[in-house]
Amino acid sequence: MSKPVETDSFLGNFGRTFITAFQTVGAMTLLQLRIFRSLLAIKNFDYDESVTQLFKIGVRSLPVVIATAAFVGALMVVASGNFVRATGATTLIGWAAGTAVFSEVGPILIGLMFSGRVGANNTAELGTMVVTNQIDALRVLGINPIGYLIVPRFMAMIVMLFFLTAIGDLFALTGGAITCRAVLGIDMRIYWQGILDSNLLSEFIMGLVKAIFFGGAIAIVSCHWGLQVTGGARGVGRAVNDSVVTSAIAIFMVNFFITVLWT
Amino acid sequence: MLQYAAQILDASLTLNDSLVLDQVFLQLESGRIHALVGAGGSGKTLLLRMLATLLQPSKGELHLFKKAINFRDLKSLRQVRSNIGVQFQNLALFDFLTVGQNVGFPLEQDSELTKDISIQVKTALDSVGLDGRQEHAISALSGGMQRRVAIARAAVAKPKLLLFDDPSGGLDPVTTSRIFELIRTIQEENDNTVVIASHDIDRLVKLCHIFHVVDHGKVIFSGTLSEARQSTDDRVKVFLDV
Repeated sequence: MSKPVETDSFLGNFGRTFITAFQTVGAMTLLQLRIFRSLLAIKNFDYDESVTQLFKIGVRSLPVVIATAAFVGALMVVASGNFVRATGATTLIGWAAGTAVFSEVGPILIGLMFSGRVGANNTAELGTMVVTNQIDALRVLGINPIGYLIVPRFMAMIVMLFFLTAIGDLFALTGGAITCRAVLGIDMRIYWQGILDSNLLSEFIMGLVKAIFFGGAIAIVSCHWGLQVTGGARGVGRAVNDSVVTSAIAIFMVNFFITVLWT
Repeated sequence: MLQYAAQILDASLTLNDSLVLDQVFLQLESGRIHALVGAGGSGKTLLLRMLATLLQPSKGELHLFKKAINFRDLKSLRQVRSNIGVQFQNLALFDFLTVGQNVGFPLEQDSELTKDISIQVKTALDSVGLDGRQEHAISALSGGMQRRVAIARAAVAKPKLLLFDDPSGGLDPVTTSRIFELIRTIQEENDNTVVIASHDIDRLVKLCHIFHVVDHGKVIFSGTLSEARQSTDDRVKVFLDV
């Protein structure tokens, strides 16, 4: 008769990790379904909470996003600068920076910043509400916490990451233009003309579509970990950590699939 | 015939593979103040959470207001919950709302109570001695004041069943007396069924009509103080100090 696999063996640990990962994905899928069901019950939609979330999530994230985007654009120009200078193809600098910013680096880095700032804060906030019984208090008062707390956050994160990415793109290109002149000594008009001539509309739209999906993914991940908190302050810290890591993985996975489907 | 606001019938509860409530039988007579006493970790808070419909028994039944609770029927669950007020052990006040908004919150959820919310909130805050603090942030209040806000929120909609989990926890004797007196006033004014889980036996003895002793997840005694005196179970006498 074969011996049962020991639970602390490599195989046991691997299996346990695998099962936990599947359970997490399953729980997130269920949360997503409950969000959609609450969205359909539009009469329960809390407009005041939605406006609060839009302000908190969007407007307060603007300085961070602008700073990140400007340096991302600058970095793209510096990275492609050596190639451009070596080949003398200065007209390509706008195309190189624009393509990278619009389709890949812009949405990903803004998404990661967003997840670190907004997603982590959301997990901590919901987690604290769980450990202080505020979610239970809502339930006793006959309020569905999904409709009251989660749906406004979900909507706000999608809407605001979309607009933040669009604004971020603009500042990334501006940062690139300034760097182009200041560091590479290439006329800004060549840079802007390169972007316009490259017809990057498709890349720009793809970046915004990615932002919508990144916003949804960050919302679901951060709300899931926030609602799962157990064990007080230490549990909140652990959940925030899990939320940031899972959001980053989700962003890269979603990015891969959208890029493959788009191209 | 006795009327019961709540009945827990032969209910057990398993959490994380351990049996935390074991074949509990608890009946709460309507319009009375009930005390839940027992050592820390004996299951008092779990019983309160079950009465608040926040925990579903793994086995057995929960009846509230003469109806068996079906935890899958969310609509009727919501209806039942509108008749329950809870003051949680850690208060569970909404820190994103002001004092007035916290107290008015239950009223906003019930279409029949939405009339004159500000007047009802003012009356509720007056009754707990917090008049003029409507616009204050929760964090700006002391522990005792926060506890009174939680009591006002639990009672403002005049629920049929009021549950208090350690209403005097960590408070000085003067504030504690005030809070117990407040609970008595609320119950006398509204004739609701009140359950208090507390370790403050002296004050419970003065306030409560019926006592339930919980030990290791079981209700080992239910009755009046004079019945407790006649109990042959030493644990009952120790917990009720009779």
